[in-house]
Amino acid sequence: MNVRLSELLEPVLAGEPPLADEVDAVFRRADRLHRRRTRMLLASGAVAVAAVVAAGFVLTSALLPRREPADRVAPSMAAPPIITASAPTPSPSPTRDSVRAVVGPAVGERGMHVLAGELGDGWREYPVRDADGIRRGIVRVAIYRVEGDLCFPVLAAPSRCARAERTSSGIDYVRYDDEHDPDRQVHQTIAHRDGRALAVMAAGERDIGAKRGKPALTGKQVERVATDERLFDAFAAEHCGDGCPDFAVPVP
Amino acid sequence: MSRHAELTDELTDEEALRELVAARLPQMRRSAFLMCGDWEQATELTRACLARVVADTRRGVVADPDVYAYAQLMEACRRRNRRREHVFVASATGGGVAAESILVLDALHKLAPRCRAVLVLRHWDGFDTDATGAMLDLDDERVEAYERAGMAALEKLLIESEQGLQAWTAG
Repeated sequence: MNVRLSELLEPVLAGEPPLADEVDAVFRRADRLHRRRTRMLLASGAVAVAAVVAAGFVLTSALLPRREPADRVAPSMAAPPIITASAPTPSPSPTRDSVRAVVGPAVGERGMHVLAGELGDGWREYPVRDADGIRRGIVRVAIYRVEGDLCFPVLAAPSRCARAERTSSGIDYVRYDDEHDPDRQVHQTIAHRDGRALAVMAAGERDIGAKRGKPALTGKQVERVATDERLFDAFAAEHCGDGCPDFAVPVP
Repeated sequence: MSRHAELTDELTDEEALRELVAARLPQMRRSAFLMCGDWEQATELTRACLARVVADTRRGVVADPDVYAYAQLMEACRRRNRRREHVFVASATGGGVAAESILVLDALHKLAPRCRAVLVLRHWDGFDTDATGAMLDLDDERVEAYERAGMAALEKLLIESEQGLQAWTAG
């Protein structure tokens, strides 16, 4: 049957058409195939790169905390760390930090802005940058629980209490401005109302010149922020207790 | 290993590729015709398969051009036959086809596609069991089984067709 099958098949092919230029057609088609494959390879490469970039962007956006622009100041020139070692430093929470909504606009009046900084129960600290992104010190705010009347401190006489001024809304306060050192100026106000004391301090950069040694807020602005009822409300029931940061003038 | 495996090493050369294509094209087209029954379709399938052989040989991914080309061709015929009923189409340029040839082709196409492919590769193209198995992705036993079954079925179909033809011409 083997021989017979090939013999049987031979006449079937009797009407075979001529080949013409089939060999050239094969090579032309091979060239087209090659070009198509190259295009597909490039396209799939581009798609893969785009997918990797998109995935990287999504993952970065989703997983990493938002960062502010890099500081132009060397780390050694950074603002003096005054936070006590035991101070808790949870991650900043925009929903929790309504204090920044009060402090931020005041800093903005001088063409500067506060960044999301550190915060803890009853305290906040915001780094300040100017319009050029240069570090311009910090603004620190803390609220304390006070039993009875508050003795506003007098630095020159630790045993005495300063005479406080009172706002129309019943908030007692004392301003403490230290501008003697051009390389390190501090404006602070301590305010007191209803068993709570609020300290607001704006400090300039340390040891990098008079201009940047100036705090981001004037003494008047610090006073205004410290006596703003919204700031007391913003802290709600928080108080810093054992984790309070340091201030130029400690709150008793 | 195929009978033209010795050419493999030279296939990177364009001239050798052209010679290979020119040598294989007529035989492959006939095999394709036996598989699909249409010269136009056979020409198209052969051209497509050989173009792939050329492109892939240039990329250096073809180990055995015969196995590669026929494997592509048989797969293309199988896919094409799946999509449409088989119809025998005579060449527009060729002369008339004898009734016996049509009966043979018809009997061949009544076989299962695997049986038909094994018979064409083994008995028309002359490949051994090993190469046929490589082209159809079958082991040797399966190739032999398909061959036995195909031959038996074809013989039976041809006898029936011959009887029918005789009865028809007598009537």
